[in-house]
Amino acid sequence: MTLERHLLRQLWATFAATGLPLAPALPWPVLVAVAALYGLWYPSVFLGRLRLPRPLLWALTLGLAVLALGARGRMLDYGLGIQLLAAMLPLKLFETRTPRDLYVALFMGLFFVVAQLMAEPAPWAVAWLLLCALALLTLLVRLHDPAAGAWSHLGLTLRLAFQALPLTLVAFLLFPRLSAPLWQLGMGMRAAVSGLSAEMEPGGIGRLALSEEIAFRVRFEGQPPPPAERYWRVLVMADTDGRRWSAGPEPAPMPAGGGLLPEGPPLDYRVFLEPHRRTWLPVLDLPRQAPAGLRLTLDYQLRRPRPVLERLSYAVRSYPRYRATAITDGQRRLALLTPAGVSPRVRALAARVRGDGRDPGAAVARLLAWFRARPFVYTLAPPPLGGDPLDAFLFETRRGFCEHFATAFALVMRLAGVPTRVVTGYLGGELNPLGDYLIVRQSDAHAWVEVWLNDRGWVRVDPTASVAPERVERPPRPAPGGGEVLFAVDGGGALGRLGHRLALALDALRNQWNTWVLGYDSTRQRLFLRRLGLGFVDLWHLPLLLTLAGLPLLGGVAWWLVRAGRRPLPPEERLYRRFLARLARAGVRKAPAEGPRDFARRAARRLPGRAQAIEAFSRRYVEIRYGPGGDLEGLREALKRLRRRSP
Amino acid sequence: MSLNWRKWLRKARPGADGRARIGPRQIYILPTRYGLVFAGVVLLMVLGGLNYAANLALLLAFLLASVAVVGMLHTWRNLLGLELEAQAAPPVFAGDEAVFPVSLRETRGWRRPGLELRLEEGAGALSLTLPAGGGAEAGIRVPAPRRGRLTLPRLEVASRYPLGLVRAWSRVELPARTLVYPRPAERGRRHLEPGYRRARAGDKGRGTDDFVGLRPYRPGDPPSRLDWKALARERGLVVREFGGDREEEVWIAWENQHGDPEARLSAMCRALLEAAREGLHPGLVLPGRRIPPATGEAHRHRCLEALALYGGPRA
Repeated sequence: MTLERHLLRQLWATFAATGLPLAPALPWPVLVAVAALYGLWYPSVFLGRLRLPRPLLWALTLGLAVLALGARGRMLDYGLGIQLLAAMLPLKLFETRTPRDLYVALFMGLFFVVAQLMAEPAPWAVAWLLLCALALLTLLVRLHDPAAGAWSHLGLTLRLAFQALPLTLVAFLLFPRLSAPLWQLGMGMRAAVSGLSAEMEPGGIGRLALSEEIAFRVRFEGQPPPPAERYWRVLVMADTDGRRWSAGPEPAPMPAGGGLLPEGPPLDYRVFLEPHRRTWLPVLDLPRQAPAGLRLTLDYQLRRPRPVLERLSYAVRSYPRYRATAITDGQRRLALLTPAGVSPRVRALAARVRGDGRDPGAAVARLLAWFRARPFVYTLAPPPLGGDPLDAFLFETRRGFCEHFATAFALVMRLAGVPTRVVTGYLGGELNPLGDYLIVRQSDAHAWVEVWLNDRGWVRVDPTASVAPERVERPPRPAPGGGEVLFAVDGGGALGRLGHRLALALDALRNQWNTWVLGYDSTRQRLFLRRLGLGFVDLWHLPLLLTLAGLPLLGGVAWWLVRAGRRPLPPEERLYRRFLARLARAGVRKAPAEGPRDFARRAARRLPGRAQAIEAFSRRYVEIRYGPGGDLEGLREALKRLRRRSP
Repeated sequence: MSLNWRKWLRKARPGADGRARIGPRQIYILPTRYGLVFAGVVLLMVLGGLNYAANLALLLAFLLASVAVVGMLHTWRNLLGLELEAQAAPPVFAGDEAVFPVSLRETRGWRRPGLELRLEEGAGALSLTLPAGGGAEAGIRVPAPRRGRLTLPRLEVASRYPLGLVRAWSRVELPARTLVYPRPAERGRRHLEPGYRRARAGDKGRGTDDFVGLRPYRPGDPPSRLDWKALARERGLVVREFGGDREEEVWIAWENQHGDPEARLSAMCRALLEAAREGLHPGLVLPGRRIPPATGEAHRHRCLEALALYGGPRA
């Protein structure tokens, strides 16, 4: 048994459609080869005009495999598998002849779809890929009902999908999720992402400022804090060689209690973090305790044991007013570390800032005042700093981005004898009024410092704020010429505002998508169950719950298929069936071969008392059913008369 | 030895009207080979999706699994409420195939594509599609290796529509029967006992051998006997009359055959058929039964039936 040509053509078109979302990401040699294969199939197999020798196909297979292995596409390791699949699909087309081949091709196609879905493409691509999967199933319907038209196959597939939808959703919501992966093969399935790194060099954050990518979203329990207090701490860097700062190995965990004395009400919020393949997690100012499964380090960083490869959400309680008193001797030593070869100008400045050395708080104020009094410029395009970056920045160029200000400030403070460390993270975030949550983008990345004051503990100081106070309120935007920083100001006319609102609305949708589809994990599942009032359900009882919810759904579909799906009988036919049922109760049954007239005659003989009513009903019925038509009302009446005479 | 577990499965039996209706509890469903592979593919997707917290992969996997399950309901529905009825097959000779006319009827109001109808223990399924409210006829071929009565064996009506991932089937018992004549012996001397006798009507009687005379046409006379020449000579419609047939009666007797009973019956069957073909009037002598010579299709059938059922229970 071989497959029908048009079925094969449909397979061909579906395969090509399945590869479409991937096309831009394929390295061009693979893309060209795959496109050529799809192009060749049509004239050679479908039209039969072009004979392709078998060795050529084998050579193509081998060549494509080499190409895919050798090409360094934009995709990483797992991309390789997907490239091979993309290349094997058109080749499989040449080898598809029997129904068995069709099934194999179909399974390959489904794997291709799922491999693309693993990479979490844009929502439109997700919709497209799901449609492609359904189109693959359409082929099966066509295989089993070749006589029907193409639209009826599509119609049935869509009906199947529609009837399967409730079950799909229930399974999606209730299927138990793993809280930790079973295996770690093929890490980094998703493409490289931008974000903060464990080391900071001048210019590192400046590059991030160009990225509009979303770093994370936050939903506050109550009122979000004002923009000037949205300091999202991510990394603490104390180790430096004068140019490069690094976070070093993960610090020791915070002992219980946290050495944090709250001085105000807490803020409760939940962070929805985009995967960034690192272990650190942003958190607003200082938390006292880490959420379950996460760790709080001695310098108040929030860390996770393994990298964030999936969308992660966690709830935190932070204190915007606090006294952070945790410090060890090692930390103090590290926070006073200064590079060698500091220029005399800088030493002189440090000495001036230090004063008598008794009041570090006054020293901080003196240095900030010094910055404010000099013509420092906040810019995304600072000039190169040469051999002694500290001296060059403080006394010559005086143009820099937040990391320049933070590192220079930190070094001078250290020279002045005040323990200081650099903190990188994000400042600000845009409130989306539609979704009532905060969007923090990579362009909100920021660097500031924390100084140790003996009587107050670690205190946040943002030297950038003394140079460019606008930064605290608004994210920086690069100026068109690449010079000074512009700050995003509400403006751009009515059209611009409308565009912005639309973008916010889209992001609100996207946030829902992220929360309920992409980021639906074991935590979310718990929340969902609790909201249903099923908080007591154990993870391992979920399959039972799934069955309990799924079976009635299936029963509903079966009922729909058998009862509601049937064609309704014409009204006279329904009345006639009632008539037959009534006579059957009286003991007269219609034989299958008996016509209505014959039956009426026989029934009238058997039930003489009702003979007239029987004859009258049958006459009317025959008129409507086989004759020119008649009135249904009369038929209904006749049936009633039959009942009245019955004992 | 295979355990006859099939005995315990439910089957659809005909009701009072002779029609078997497939009810919801008479339909069995098992996954096909492709269905099992499909389940494996979906399972892999679920595992991968769970491990990498790739919810979209999970979503697709659950969609595919749900579609397969809903598809199973469609397969089940494809058989539900089908009505089957079988007629008696025309008699055949042993070694041939009896063809039972089986009719399928769709009464629930939905189209039923991709139905397969076959003997439960036999290959070669017939493929059928019933339109909504329509019906179809199929000839079920049943091998008839032995003479005697042949009952239509259990039928199996099955479907893999719409996805081919599961196969639903139902076992149907229909009461149609047919008669299997003994296989005519291939060769060997046939032994006919001649029973030459004058026709009861005598030589002067009417027959087909000797021309006797002419008489006027009566309605019903065969046209071959019309005297066309007389018509051409305008003498009206005249029929030529013949006479002088001898009834060539032969007796085919059990005791004149050789070998075991089946061989004897085969030989008698062959003799009977040939005698009938040659225009003789065969009579049959079986132990305990005697069918006097006669002609005609009914007589032939009566003789063959006697041979077919010889030694068996009286039917």
